[in-house]
Amino acid sequence: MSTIPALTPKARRGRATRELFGPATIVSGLVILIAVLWALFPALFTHHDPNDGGDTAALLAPSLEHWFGTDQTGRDVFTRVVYGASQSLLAALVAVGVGLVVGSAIGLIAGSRRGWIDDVLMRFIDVLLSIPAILLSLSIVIVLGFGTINAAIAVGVTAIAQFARLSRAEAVRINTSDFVAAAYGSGGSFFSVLYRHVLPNSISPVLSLAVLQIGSAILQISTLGFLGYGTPPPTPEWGLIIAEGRNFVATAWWLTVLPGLIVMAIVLATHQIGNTLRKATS
Amino acid sequence: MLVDTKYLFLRLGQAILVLLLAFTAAFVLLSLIPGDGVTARFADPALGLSADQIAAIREETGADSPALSRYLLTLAGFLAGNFGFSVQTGAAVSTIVAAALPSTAVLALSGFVTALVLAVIIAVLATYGPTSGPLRWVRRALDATPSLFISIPVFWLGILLIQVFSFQLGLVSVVEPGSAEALVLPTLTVAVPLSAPIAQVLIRSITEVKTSPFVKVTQAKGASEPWILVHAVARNAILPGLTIIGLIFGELVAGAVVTETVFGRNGIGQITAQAVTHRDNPILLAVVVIATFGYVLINLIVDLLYPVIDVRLRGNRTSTLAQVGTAEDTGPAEPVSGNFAGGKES
Amino acid sequence: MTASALATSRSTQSTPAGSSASAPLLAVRGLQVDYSHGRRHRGDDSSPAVDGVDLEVRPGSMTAVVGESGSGKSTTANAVIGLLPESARVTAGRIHLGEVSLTDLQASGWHGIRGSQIGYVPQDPGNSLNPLQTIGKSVAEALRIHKRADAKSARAQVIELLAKVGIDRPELRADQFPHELSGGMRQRVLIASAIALRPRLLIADEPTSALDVTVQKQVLDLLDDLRAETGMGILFITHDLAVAGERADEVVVMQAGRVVEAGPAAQVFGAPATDYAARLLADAPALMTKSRRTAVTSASSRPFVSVENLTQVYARSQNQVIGVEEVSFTVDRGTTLGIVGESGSGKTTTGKALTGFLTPQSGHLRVGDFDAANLGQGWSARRHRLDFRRTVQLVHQNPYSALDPKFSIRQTLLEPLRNFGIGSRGSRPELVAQILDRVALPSSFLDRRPRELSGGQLQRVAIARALIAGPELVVFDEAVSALDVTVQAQILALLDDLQKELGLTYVFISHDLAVVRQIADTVAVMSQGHLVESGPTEELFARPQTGYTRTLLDAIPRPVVGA
Repeated sequence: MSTIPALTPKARRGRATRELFGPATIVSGLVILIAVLWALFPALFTHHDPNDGGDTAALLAPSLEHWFGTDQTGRDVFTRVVYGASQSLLAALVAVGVGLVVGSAIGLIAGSRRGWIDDVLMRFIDVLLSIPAILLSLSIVIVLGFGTINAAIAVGVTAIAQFARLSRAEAVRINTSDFVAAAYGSGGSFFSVLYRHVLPNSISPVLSLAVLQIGSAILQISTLGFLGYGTPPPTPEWGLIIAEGRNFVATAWWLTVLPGLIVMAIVLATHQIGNTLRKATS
Repeated sequence: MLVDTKYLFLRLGQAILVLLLAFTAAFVLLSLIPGDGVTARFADPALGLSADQIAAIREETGADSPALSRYLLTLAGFLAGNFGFSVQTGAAVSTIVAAALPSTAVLALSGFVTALVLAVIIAVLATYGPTSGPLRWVRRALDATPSLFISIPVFWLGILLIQVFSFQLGLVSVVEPGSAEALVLPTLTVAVPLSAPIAQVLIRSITEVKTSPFVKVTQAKGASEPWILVHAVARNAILPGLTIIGLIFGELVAGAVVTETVFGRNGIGQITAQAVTHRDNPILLAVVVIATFGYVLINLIVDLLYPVIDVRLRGNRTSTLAQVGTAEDTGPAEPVSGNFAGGKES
Repeated sequence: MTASALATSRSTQSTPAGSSASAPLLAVRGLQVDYSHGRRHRGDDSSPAVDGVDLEVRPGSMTAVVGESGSGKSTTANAVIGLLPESARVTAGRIHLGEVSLTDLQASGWHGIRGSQIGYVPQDPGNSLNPLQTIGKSVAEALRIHKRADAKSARAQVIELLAKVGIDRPELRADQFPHELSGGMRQRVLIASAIALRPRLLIADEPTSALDVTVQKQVLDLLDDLRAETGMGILFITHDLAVAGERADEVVVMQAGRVVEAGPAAQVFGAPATDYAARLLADAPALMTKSRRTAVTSASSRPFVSVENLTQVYARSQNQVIGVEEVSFTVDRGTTLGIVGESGSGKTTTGKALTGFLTPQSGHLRVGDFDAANLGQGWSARRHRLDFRRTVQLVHQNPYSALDPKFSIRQTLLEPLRNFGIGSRGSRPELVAQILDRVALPSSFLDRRPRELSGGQLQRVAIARALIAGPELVVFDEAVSALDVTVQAQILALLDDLQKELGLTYVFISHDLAVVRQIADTVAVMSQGHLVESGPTEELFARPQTGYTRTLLDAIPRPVVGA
């Protein structure tokens, strides 16, 4: 049909707003809230010690006292999962922070300046993208050494490419829009237009990517932890907890299944929120 | 001609450049920054090597030569298929890698094909499933499946599959399984998370194509749903899927590394994990370069395949005038979408 | 067959249509379409509900459904062919195609109707044809679906059909893909594939609104020929009153989902019975027979704008230039120059060069005392460039993208004041209030964001932003093309007032001759990068000197008025 069907932004907003407060999003928000509370105040949620089982029997099946059972040294698995939240979430935040800051700086500059600067920066991003993420992060971990923050930085580096590509695309899109042309027409200088119009209008898709990336950062960090390159034992970390339980798959399923479900639920929740935000801002 | 030669060479040159830069980056990271790997490794008193012996090893491995000549030597070695020697065992890296590669290739291929089949099934059911009746939940459930699959930790999935199929159900033997049997669970472990991004892209593109004007025109000609799916939607919806296939190569590598570790399969993943644990940089460098080569190659193929499937890309890359010419008598089009009616500046 | 044959077809059909000698081919009675809950209050204006619509299409005649966006005209068409979106339902009324009740059809029943009994021609925004399918296959599709032909015999029929809709070298075209064809040709292909099975009824939903005016005329002629030849009826959906008035036998005017007026075209256009129809007619630029303006003869000897041999060539092929070449014109102070051209004519490039957004390859551009082709580089010339920007302002086509969605109207209007250093912190709010008043917007709009405003209101804000810095020359690039006719007329009237009040000089770029005729004192016609003809508006419209201008003028639809 003809004229002005573009009123749909209004329609899309309505839909997005309703989805923003839909049941799936609310549940996801609660899941994330709980995870954050675990990370900040673990002692509120459990009275066991994460690293010392005391004289509790080993490999107890889940019960009211030990929701997720106990591991081979009698430690409460639920407690270890709760205490693991701080390591995993902190690492995920660091990782996304590295990707977000470095990536969107590269993208914004490339997309606004264009020319040879754009070419050079984007070839660099191509290279980052061409090395499979896990191998890139392993290469960085091998240089930096094992540990939570190092693993987080390694994962963050692999996220740079995505942030750079998105923010460059956004910057290019905004820079070619009529309102930016109009801003120059109104006497704006390059930096004032960049700061007042380009940045505010390109930031929200980048931020929703950041939320989406938290989920995959949690997964990648737990993978490094599982392989033994992340947080050193006995400090609980989700990947490490599952790795420790894998020798008992035949006899104590709860050591791996239940922590894994928690990780999955949290990642799923961040994806849900991230996707809703992406729809609301695009 | 489907692909013009100029584009072919341009794209080929780009691929080689990216590969060279990736090699350089990995070399800097794994061979330069760690400083003196030889000393770090062999000066360990536990090995009991004398200073002379260490000097001899240094001489042999070229550890003392300047960075640039080491870089060029290593590069020349890679081009000739000589990836250096393992710090851990002293064996030639090329031998180690060559021994591990086939089993990983088999796992990756079977995982990829399974993921593809899974993704197509999910996408078609999620977009063409029943919209009403008692089975309408199937459609909604499948629509949500990709975000679920993408949230599963691969290593956990592997462990879970072992638990369920080997220990609970006893379907797949963990001890001494046949080679085909041994492939089933690892393949699933690789395939399930991998299918998610493919399915997501396919669902999105099918939904988009289904609502595009030309599908409505086909409907108006009296076509049935299956006819529309086969003749109008399928080919158009596959195009974005093609791009994602190039991009998920990295996920495939990650899946293979983790899966091999969980299932204790020999392969590139295993030697990578061991290399990291023992800080065996030469092996990791070789794996990185080979995997990057795989990524670049697959994306090159995908890019060259594009014009074969998408007729719009054939031959007019060089001529912008041809494209402008086709639009010459189209008016200001959708009044709202076109910024500048002529669009000549593009 | 053309003009004469058309005239006969019109005269033979329009009279019996009124006297209802023949039974209607399509009869819509009391049609009501509702969107299921949650759909309507989303404010999706492009697909509104429809209530109590009656209309008829007789064999061999054309019924036009006319309305602005959101009037429900497309929803009506979609209901007739049973292709309403999933959320919409026909809740009351009946639709009959001959003896068949379309409202009672199940999915399998539609199979025998769509394509074979009813053909459908959409607007072609470039993607109404499967991009991966050859033209031949698209045209043959209906034949294949209804099993009227195998692949081999279909080919012969396809070539015949393509020839029939006036496509040259049909054997060659059949093997081409949609992207290799021009918009006009694609529209012909769509018509060919819609009439492949000789349907009794053709639904054409805005089939020409994406086309340039000369191409539009060819496509409309083709539709006229086809219905005269095959006796099919056409249900024609359009927002363009002039097209409806020129081509249709019966006209149905819709507003907000209801029919406000219906009847034989000559009657509706000659003596509209309702205010709404009358207003629509009054606002539609193509229906104005005369320019509103009286030519202003400038006393000053030196024109305010002078362009000499402006050249900016992006690409060149045979006799076609992408960009502009050797374009010269002048504009007197306080007058309006209309630049008219079809897409690709170079009119936008000219506008960019005039406003200093493009430094041309060669030529002289003078605006007042500024050399617009050489505004200086670097920091030292910044003051000079700012002064130029203050003097010359550009208003864009699309009001939805021309305003920063994150800025309130107040911020948008303050920005030029701050950048140009106009007024003080204390006096600026007063300036903003004044300009808003001048474009007839209430001051309550100051704190709204662009998304809360309609297209017409947004364009007023964009005009206010252009005017607040006190420019002398304003360039409008298709500035009213995205607006409905009523809003368009309001904006044009506003521009007229502002020009008189402020003594502004306008350059008004448009593809729409009728709009230009209303606003311009002088007109320049551009085609393929060259300036074809220029002169005072009425003179140029009355006595075009070149063949191209004549073609352009002939292509403007003119309704037959008076019964």
